[in-house]
Amino acid sequence: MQKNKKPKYLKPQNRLKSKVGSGGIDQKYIKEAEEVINNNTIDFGPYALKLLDGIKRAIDSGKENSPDKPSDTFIKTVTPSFMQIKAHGALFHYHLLTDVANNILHFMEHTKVWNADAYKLIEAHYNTMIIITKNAIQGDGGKDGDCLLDELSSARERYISKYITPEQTS
Amino acid sequence: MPYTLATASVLIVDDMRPMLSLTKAVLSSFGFRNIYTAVDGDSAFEMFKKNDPDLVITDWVMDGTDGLNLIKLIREDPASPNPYVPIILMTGYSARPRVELARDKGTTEFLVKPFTAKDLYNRIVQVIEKPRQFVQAQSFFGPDRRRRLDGDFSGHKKRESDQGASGQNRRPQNRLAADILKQLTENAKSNS
Repeated sequence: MQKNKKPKYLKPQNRLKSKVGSGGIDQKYIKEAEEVINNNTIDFGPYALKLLDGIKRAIDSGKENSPDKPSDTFIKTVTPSFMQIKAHGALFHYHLLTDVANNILHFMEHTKVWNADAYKLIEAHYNTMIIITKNAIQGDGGKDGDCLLDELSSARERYISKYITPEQTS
Repeated sequence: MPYTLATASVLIVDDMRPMLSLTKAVLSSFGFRNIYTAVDGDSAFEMFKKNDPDLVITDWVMDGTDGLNLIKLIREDPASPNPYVPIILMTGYSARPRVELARDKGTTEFLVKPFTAKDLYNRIVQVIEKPRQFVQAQSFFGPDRRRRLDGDFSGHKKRESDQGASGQNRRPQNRLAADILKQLTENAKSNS
């Protein structure tokens, strides 16, 4: 595609619209699709364990080779794995796993100050996710799941309030 | 008259096969019949060139050619049969810089995983009913970026802590995480 200096605005033909027409789809088909998600029998456990295994290796290597500050390589390895767990856990019935992964992913995406305590925080989330996965704890964990997530969120907040000024958050 | 989705074609790209199957099943429930699938960006672009689908739904993080590179190929490669095709990018990332990066690479709509069937349907309706005009500039070719993309976590959102680091989390209860995990584990074992 040739790029000109002066921006051009183009209105391409809406091919999709011309094929499907108007009017949306009946709500029953959306409900049916929700049931497809809710009733899927795919076992996400092995996928999660594989991702968690990679996270564990990165944590061990990071603590040994770069104990005071997680390296860029560590971040680039671990962040996508937590993201994958967050993304897919709830779609395959592991809602609590998604919530825990979301908690640490948020930390990794927004925190600009790193030190050895960051490993501890990441490891706490890793350990939690291992237990959830190995024990096939599906759903949101009920009140215990809420308490667990509160504890992890609290640990994250303690790290943030201890080390990070408001200007250093995004 | 409802949509006749059976007349349109869609390409789904995801390197996690169960996710690919699930997305395909959801689209089938909506009424799509011409569904192509690929597990990586390279084979997806080959399939795109061959079949010229009306809609592309792709994951972001994949080995090799990832979702963003696939979008670049679709938008800019001379062999692309339709650089204007609507592209929905699926990902677990929801931080604003990620959303903006995806937008800057030519994404039409952004869908945060985990999603509901309704979330996916809404994105499809968006590209059908409210298509973006395209911008052809020196450093960008793609859908007009001026409409704000919603990158908020759209999945299982029931806790105040989902509001992020700056949000007010609920007061932590006075229980050790280890005790809670032990309880959860025991519950899981007694239920199995």
